[in-house]
Amino acid sequence: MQNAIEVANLKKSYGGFCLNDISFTVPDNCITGFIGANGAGKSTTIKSILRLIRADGGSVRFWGMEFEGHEREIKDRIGVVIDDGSFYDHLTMAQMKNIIAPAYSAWDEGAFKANMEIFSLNPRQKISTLSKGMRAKYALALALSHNADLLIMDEPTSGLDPVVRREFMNIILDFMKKDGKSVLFSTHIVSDLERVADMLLLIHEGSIVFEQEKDALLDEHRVVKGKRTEMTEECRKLFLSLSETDYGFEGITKNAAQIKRFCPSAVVERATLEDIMLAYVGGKRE
Amino acid sequence: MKKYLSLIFKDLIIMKNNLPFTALIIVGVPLLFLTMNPMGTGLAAFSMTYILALYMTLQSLAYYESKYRKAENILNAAPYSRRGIVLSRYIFSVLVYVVCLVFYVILSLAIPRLERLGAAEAAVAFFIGSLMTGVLQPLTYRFGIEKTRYINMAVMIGVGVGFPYFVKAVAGGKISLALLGGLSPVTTICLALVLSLVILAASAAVSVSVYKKKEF
Repeated sequence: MQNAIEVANLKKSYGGFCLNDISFTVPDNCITGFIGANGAGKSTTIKSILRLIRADGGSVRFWGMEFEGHEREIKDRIGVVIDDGSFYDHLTMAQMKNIIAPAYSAWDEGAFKANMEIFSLNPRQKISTLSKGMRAKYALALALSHNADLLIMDEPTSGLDPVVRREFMNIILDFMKKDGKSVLFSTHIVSDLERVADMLLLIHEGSIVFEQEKDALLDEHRVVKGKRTEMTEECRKLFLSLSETDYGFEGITKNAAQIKRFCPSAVVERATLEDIMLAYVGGKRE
Repeated sequence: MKKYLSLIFKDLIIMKNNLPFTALIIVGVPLLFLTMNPMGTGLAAFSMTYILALYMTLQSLAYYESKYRKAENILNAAPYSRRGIVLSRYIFSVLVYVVCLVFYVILSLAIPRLERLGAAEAAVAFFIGSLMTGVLQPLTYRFGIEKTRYINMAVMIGVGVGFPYFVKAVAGGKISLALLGGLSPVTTICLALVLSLVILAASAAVSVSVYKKKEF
């Protein structure tokens, strides 16, 4: 199975921040969630991949091809959604489309019109009058209207209400029904990915913390809650993050079975993605 | 070629709100020259028209691109090359010249008092515009419209206003162009066009180099 994106040793430095040798892959036929806190490096990574900013080192390949010599061919196959869309707000949606559409060799006007209807968007409406949700949907409509094989989305659901976010996820799932499609979706709203992601990448302070299948990740990690009296120093070391009060403790762990031997009365629950992310990036022992 | 046409069309769409004003300049300035100075049309009127229209075009495009800076994300994420985005702007500036010239010729045919433009004069006007574009575009790409606003305005005023006075001074004998006066119209046309193309090509190369390194 070919990878849609292969990133190797990507480096980028700004004043007080740098990407530290980022390496990961986005497999074909997968939705890869790219999660991390604000300022972790998600947007920097995505912009480096798209050549919107110049990386200081490393390589990026799309379907085995480097950008040099294949830039147009690669970009032709990628649909991009950045923030809530990056548009000339004084234009109508139809006018903005007329700027973008000619760039793509496989632009499908019929698909664009259909998407606009599905999203209940009027092409003659000015972009400046759109709500955040409508802008996000319009950006997605553009990205889905040129038979892209890969969708790269940088925080597309940021600031959207749960109803619109659910709608957005459903559209992405529909996109994935066709063979050979891939999605790289960056967000700090981890719950959005819980339903749709196949793979997860966590970035923190410019470094990849983990790259793993979502189901495996959720299977590995557990929330353990128990009595403070049963906690020992040896047991503490088994937690990724731990919060203790005078009466009890609660923590995230990959070693639930071992902890149960120390704390027989402890309750073990499934961890959410948010729990797991917080354990890795904000893990604390109190 | 199709991509360049798309990018030129992009510029037209972006500056659509300013098109009526630009059209007013193209038609109105020659007429204004006619009413203000019936003997001072021709090269002075046309060069002023072209300079103003060119300035309006380039500045409004730079303004919208600065105001909606994030739009360059989607533009550069699309299969447009950065080189193409820059070169299409230069082609667009040449198209502004063509449109100004066509309208001036039509006006001069319709209004006999409006001095007709000779080929050499048209070439010299193109040279002036190329000089302005050649200087201002790389500066705008490098420093942005905010930092270059006053430089742009100074160059436009200097060239646009100063040049008609220069032409008038030459016509009145106050300034001698003995060397240029010895050139045939064909030589003047060739010289003006070649110099214009050299300036535009060099300027475009610098602008492409600057834009290729830009980060969004």
